[in-house]
Amino acid sequence: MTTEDQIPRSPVTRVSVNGNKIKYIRESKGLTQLYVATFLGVTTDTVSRWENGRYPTVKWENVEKLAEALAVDPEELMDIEASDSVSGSSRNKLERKAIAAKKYVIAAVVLILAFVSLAVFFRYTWKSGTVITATRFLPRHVAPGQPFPVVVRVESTGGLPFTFIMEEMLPEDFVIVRGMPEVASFDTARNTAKWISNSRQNLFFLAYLIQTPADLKRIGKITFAGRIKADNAPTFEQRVLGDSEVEISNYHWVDTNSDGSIDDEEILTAFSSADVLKGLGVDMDLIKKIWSAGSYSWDPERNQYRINE
Amino acid sequence: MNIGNGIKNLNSHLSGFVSIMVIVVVFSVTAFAGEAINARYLEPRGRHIIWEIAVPTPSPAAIIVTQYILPESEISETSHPLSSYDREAGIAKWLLTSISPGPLKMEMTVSKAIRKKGEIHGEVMFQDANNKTMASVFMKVKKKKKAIEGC
Repeated sequence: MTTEDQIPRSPVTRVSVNGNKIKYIRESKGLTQLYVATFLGVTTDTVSRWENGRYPTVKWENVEKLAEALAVDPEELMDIEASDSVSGSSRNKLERKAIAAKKYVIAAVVLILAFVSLAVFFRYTWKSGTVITATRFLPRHVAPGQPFPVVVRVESTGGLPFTFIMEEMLPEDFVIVRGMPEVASFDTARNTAKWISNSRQNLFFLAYLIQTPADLKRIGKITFAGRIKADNAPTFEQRVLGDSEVEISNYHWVDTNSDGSIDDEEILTAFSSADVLKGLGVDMDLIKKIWSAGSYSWDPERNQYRINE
Repeated sequence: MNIGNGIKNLNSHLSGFVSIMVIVVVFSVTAFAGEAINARYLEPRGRHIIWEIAVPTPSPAAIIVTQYILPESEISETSHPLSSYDREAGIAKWLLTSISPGPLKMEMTVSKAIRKKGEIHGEVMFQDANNKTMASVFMKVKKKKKAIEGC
């Protein structure tokens, strides 16, 4: 069954006919134009025009009668390609609707398939898409021979719990006094500390106290570098982000504005984390004494702060 | 980005640390973002000054209390160890840590008696959970006398 058979046609529907074929069938059956015209109730001129192609379209009703007169199937008389291109006809409108409906169905199926594919993709790739980030916080400056705290914020987007390994490559001759959690291993050749830790939450903080070398006389910047890797993101390893430089200067690390004093805001910031800093071994009494005194200076001979009473 | 923010974050989230002490700090810091701490004088006159601070629950990790008294006054006694005193300016400071929530009564005895309002005022300063420094001033306010019913 052809597509044409599936499309309903009303008697007034106009279709294209193949004039040569009509003429061929009529003559092969020994029928005259007059006979056909009489059978259909039209003039011989009309039949002649159909056969000569001067009427591009013919009413479906007449095609059926013509087919009956010629004793053939109506489809045999039609010019299928031309019929498809006839504009403005009801048949074409129906055809266009049918085609549009098909397109919508196909589009809907494609969208559903795409959605299902995406869902499956995320379901099976979620774990491997995990990102772990570590951000380092450093003081702006430190004095030679003085300890200072370093905090690293570790964040994971993946499943819990997760275990991570973090490495911190310290500046030359710098040593870690204490870690929270404790340092798992220290590679003296590379001056690199390594932690391995487990977290039950997406956010984890790691802190350590680092000692600057006492004989560090140069004024300049020291650089930190590190990297982190976690078991919930096995293919992902990245460097530790955030602060990476600390300036060697003659100011206490709590004195963030380098004005030679620890003001109220600076000491409140330090003391709001006093327990962590005490846990690391930070000398909180010294910070308090400097704040109380109002000013301090650096004694390069003794490598210590001189509190100006 | 600096160490202060880092440590503050450490305190605020805390999850990775095992230290119970740190947990106390976190809880104490996170609750009162944006709120000031109220204080008032109980005894604003004479040589013996008494004031009370309403420490919220949970309490901040540290509070700086400042008293502005008469310049050149001597401080002979305080209820809490004085952190610093600028005698010339008459500015006394306390750094209070490990504070319990609730009313905190503080006292001091000075050499120059306070005789009228405006001669003394105080200040309470702390940092909220967002590392923002909050400060509130307290001073003696002249009370309006209430009419006694039936008179």
